Amino acid sequence: MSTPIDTLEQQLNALRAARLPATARQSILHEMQRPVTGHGWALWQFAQRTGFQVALAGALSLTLVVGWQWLSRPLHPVSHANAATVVASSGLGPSLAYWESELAAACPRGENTVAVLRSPSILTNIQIRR
Amino acid sequence: MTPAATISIWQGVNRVTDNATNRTMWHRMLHECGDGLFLYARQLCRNDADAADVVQEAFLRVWRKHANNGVTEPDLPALCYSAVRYTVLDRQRQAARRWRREVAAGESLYEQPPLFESSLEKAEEDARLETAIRELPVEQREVLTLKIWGELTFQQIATVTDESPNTVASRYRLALAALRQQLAKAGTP
Repeated sequence: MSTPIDTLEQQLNALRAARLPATARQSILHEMQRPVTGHGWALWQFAQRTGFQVALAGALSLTLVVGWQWLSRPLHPVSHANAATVVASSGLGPSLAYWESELAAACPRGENTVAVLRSPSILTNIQIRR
Repeated sequence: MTPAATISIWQGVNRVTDNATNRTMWHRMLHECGDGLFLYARQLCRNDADAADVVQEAFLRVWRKHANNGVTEPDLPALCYSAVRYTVLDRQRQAARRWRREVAAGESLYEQPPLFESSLEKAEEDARLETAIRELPVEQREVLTLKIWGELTFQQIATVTDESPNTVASRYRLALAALRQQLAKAGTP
């Protein structure tokens, strides 16, 4: 036996909602068809994967840590380090050799001068003497 | 043909079949729930053009999020109704002042088209029912729409509306009682 509320529910169930406009329906269908074939959609789907996101986060964290360490390294060599090693390792060796030969050519003062020139720390004194 | 090639072809066929099944599921979803979503959006927007836009945006939002994550068909209606609600809330937040002004103007100027399709023989009865539904408080009308035309359970409605299932069930009963009262007042048994 149905109650008045049941009857009302049946009445309500018999009502059919007005239709979604065809334009909106077509737009949705069109949109659902379109990106499936595009490269952007494939990239978007790939970017949505958890594995990719975890890998990206890991790579960014690693870059941050390495970058931070690189930025916070000492800019000047410590006092007890071997100067020649530092010069050689920092890539200044070829540059110094070039300037040494240039100076020797511009100022031919003999073997002693050239020997003195070999010491990079007194380059300024040599230039002052000239 | 090598076994590897056979497996590859089989996987390809499976993928195509899965995609086709998936697409069919979403198309069926739009076909079955599109009208209900539109009805729900109309009650929150009070403007048919905005409501259609909201349904489109919400449906595509759900589709983009869940198209490839193995969501099952029974979960889809609740997700879509929920998306409609959040889309409307988003829009309201973005243009709260403009929206209030439009609603205020719209209520007086905009003649609302019928919420339901009606047959000729039941036109009068349906019109009375629709008038009674329109006069319900928004919260009750929302629950009634989701329950009757959205075919959601109280639990799902509670999730969509961010309320407890008891509150939702209570609003539904109140809505039915109010409807009955209104119809009785209007002379319908």
